[in-house]
Amino acid sequence: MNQKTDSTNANELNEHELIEGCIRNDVYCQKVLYEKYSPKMMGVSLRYCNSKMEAEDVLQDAFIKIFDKIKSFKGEGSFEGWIRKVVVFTALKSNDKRVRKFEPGNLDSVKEQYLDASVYSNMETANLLSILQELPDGYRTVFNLYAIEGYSHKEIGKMLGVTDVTSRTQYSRAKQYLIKLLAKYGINRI
Amino acid sequence: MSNEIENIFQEKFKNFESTPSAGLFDAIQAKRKKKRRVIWIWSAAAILFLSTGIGFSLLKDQNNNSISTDDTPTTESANTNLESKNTTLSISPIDEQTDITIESTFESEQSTNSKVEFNLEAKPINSENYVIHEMESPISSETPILDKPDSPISNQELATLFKKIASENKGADITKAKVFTRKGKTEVDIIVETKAIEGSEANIPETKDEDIANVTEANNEEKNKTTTPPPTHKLVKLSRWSIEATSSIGLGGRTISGATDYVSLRNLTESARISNSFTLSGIYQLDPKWNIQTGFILLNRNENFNHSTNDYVQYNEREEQRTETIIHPVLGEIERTYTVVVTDTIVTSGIKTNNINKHTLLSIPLILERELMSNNKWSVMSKGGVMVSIYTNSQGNIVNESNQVSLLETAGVKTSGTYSALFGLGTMYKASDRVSILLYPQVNFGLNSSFENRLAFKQREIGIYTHLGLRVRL
Repeated sequence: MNQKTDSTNANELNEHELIEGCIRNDVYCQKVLYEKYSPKMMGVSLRYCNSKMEAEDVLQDAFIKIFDKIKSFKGEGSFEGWIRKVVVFTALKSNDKRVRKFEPGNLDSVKEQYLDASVYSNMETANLLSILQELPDGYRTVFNLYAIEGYSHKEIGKMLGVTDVTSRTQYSRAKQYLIKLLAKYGINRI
Repeated sequence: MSNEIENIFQEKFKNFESTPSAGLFDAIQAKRKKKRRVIWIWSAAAILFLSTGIGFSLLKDQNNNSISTDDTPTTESANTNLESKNTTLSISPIDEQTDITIESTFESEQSTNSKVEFNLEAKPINSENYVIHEMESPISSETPILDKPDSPISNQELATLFKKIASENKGADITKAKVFTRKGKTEVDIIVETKAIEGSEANIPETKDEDIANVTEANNEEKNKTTTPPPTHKLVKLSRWSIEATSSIGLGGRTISGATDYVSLRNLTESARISNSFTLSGIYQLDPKWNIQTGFILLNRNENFNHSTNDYVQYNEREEQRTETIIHPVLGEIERTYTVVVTDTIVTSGIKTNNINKHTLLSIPLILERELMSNNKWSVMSKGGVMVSIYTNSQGNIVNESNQVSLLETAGVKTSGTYSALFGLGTMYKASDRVSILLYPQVNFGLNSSFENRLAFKQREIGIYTHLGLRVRL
């Protein structure tokens, strides 16, 4: 067993030093920060997007914002929470560019999703992700925000520019749709 | 099931991770660089636009002032009646509270060398505020000038002023010039009296303040071809002090001396890139040629830092127990257990660090400057001096002797006390009496190391910058 350690002092930098480094626009610190958070944030981004390519676009835009706006992180709340928020908002903005479809298409037209090699290792979640990605954009967004991120309908309404009643209705429909999709794949008891 | 869904999804996605494509970070950096470049271009365009605007407005002001001089009576007004000999000279307020009116009589003789006498009678409200310096024709720089003890300007300055009036009125026959100086003030009012020569006009020196004196007069009809009434003019006395502000762009770098291997390692990882600096100086005129300057120089030296480590392959060997079922011809199905050595190969990709190191130095210079040659508008100047840093901030990366990347802040950069020599050769355009525009290429090089001595190398800062800026005479 031959163990080597990397020549750089990546592990020696704590979160505070990383943030300070990124504020100074230090590429090394940015790289370390990116490597630390990008897998998790890619997971977040994937939930909001239709494809890996789109998720990477969102992730790219989000990290540009994170590096540009890191000064505005005042240390209130967790840094990861702040990063996640930026990713979620970037994803929402990206979805805005498309017409957010709340109305579902024909369930029969639902196709099987291609699973990327990097998600095979997480098979069960990957299955759920592919099902989540089959939801129409609007349903997926509301479901993500409410069921997974834990935002209230009022907050979601504000984020999406709709009323909280709309958010609630859409969520309810999204859930129905999801159950149908799960049934379609024979996952009626999870 | 419906209530379960939230829990299941929350649970499943709580720690869900997925690795993005390998080149995404580089793409992020490239996009940010592009964005920054756009911001820089726009800022540069905005600065250029503003400076052009300011430049034009300065020139416009200058032109307006010249025009206002023309507003004073010229040969045309000489058609008025000779009977009235009163000339009213309104001079702008000496201070903000008091308007001053000076009434004067205007006498003239008709002859081929007609003399325009402009007698200022001491009727001003605050006449004691004035010192009058007169110069009879012909006016030349050699004409001796009497010192007036209460004059706010020196004899030498007065001589320069008359010389200027004479040189700028070559086309006109000047009979007399009067200079009014205000006690305790640095402003100078000039009245130039000329005898008009056909086809020529008195060239009044550049004005600084319009409407300083509007002369209305009654004049002799018969003299209208030979004389012009006294135009008035104001000059601003220039102090020996100037302030200068410049910004520059150039290339900043460093020289390193030390172990050859380390120097080449540093040279491999670092390269110069476009840098800039800003200066704000106070300048004291020692004599017409020499001046001494000090102030602040803020130097932003940028350099590229590119470093990469190779991919790291790690082999982990482990033993694994395996069981297989074989069909024995006699014993039938039997299970066999054996041990194999499995080698796991883990490849960790190398880290590339592409960074821009930023060195910020705030220094105080002490500079001597000499005017090498000049004409009315242009000067060629040279300067030389030293500067010492009072604040240094270096951010970025540096490679150490073991080829390890570390932060510059921890590498022992001096926070102050870096000495540099400074030389420059530039040109200066006098946009007006007070304002000059400078274009000044300068070089600087370190006299001592910018790093603490505990390190096994010496690093001296060098740079070449072209300064563009304004110098304003107070």
